[in-house]
Amino acid sequence: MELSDFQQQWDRLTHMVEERTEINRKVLRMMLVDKASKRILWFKIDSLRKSLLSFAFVVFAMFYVPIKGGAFSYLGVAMLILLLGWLMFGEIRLIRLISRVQYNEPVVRIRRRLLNIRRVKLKTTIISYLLSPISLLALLLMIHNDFSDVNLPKISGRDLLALIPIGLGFILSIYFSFGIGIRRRFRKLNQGLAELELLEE
Amino acid sequence: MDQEDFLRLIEQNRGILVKISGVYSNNEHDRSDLICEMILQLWKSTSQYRGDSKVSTWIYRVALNSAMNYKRRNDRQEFILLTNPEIYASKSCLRQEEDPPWVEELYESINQLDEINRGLILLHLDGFSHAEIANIMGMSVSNIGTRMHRIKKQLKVILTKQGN
Repeated sequence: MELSDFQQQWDRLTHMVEERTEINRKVLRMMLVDKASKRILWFKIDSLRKSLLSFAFVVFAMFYVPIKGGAFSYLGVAMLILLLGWLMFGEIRLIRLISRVQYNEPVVRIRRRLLNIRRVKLKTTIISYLLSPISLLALLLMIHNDFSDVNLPKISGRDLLALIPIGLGFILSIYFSFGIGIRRRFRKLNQGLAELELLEE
Repeated sequence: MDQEDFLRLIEQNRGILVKISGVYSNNEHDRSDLICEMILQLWKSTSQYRGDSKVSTWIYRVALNSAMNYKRRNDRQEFILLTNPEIYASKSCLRQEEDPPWVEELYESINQLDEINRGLILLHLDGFSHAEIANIMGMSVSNIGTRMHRIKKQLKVILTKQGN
């Protein structure tokens, strides 16, 4: 088939679609009211759920520590509040970016915005993963008084030497399986963004 | 724009939505789902339409953006929709007769292009000028010219393959 035939068939399709299609007014009327509002509602519920969980945890920690804790526990709570605050800030930033997307903007600009959102989301996820050991430390500080009576086994220098290769192996496996994959995803996102920028020039 | 004006607008431009859904989805279920999605996005964008461009330009922009960023509805959203079973039962926003086989072939050949190129050829086939396409897509006019040339070549190869 030649391109001119293709164009003719396309025009035939355009004509045919007009004749053989009609809108389902009843369903559309209901959908415009019902579905649009519920989608927005779901989006709000989801972000509210995340924020409330963090908030509930902070409240729990603030009540728990004065009963059981000492100076270290307060330090743990402060670290947790800072971390959760940072995560909530990331969540709010993402919601703001997503709500700024308006589909009546030019196609390439929207694609660039969405790629950028994916990049911010990836960055937030990576940082929250990287911060997870600190949050674990904060939790341990917070509850350490509960375990003050427990006799922990003493670790000798030889034990420590044996633990170093295990720790190194653990860190290297995380780097290779997690770090390289993420770097590849970042490279792909940046490449996509650069291509879109070229289209706009 | 009130609901009735909007429905009239959709009725007048239903062809655009049907063709975009054909080019950007692979099966009947996704197609009908995508049409609803495009209509919903158009409805949400009505307040931002200021009348400074042609209605068809605005419809193409919103519909193409929805189609390119469309993801199949997941179970979570389906669950929420169950609160209104009538919509859930008859979710097709358009009533359509079944397409003859040549229509499927037509869509299939365009489907082999990448997402941006699909949008470009669709606009070209619907008679938009390079300047209008550049406005809808947010690309420079010179870029459109170069791309169109490449797309036509690519499409010719696809059509020759299909002919064999």
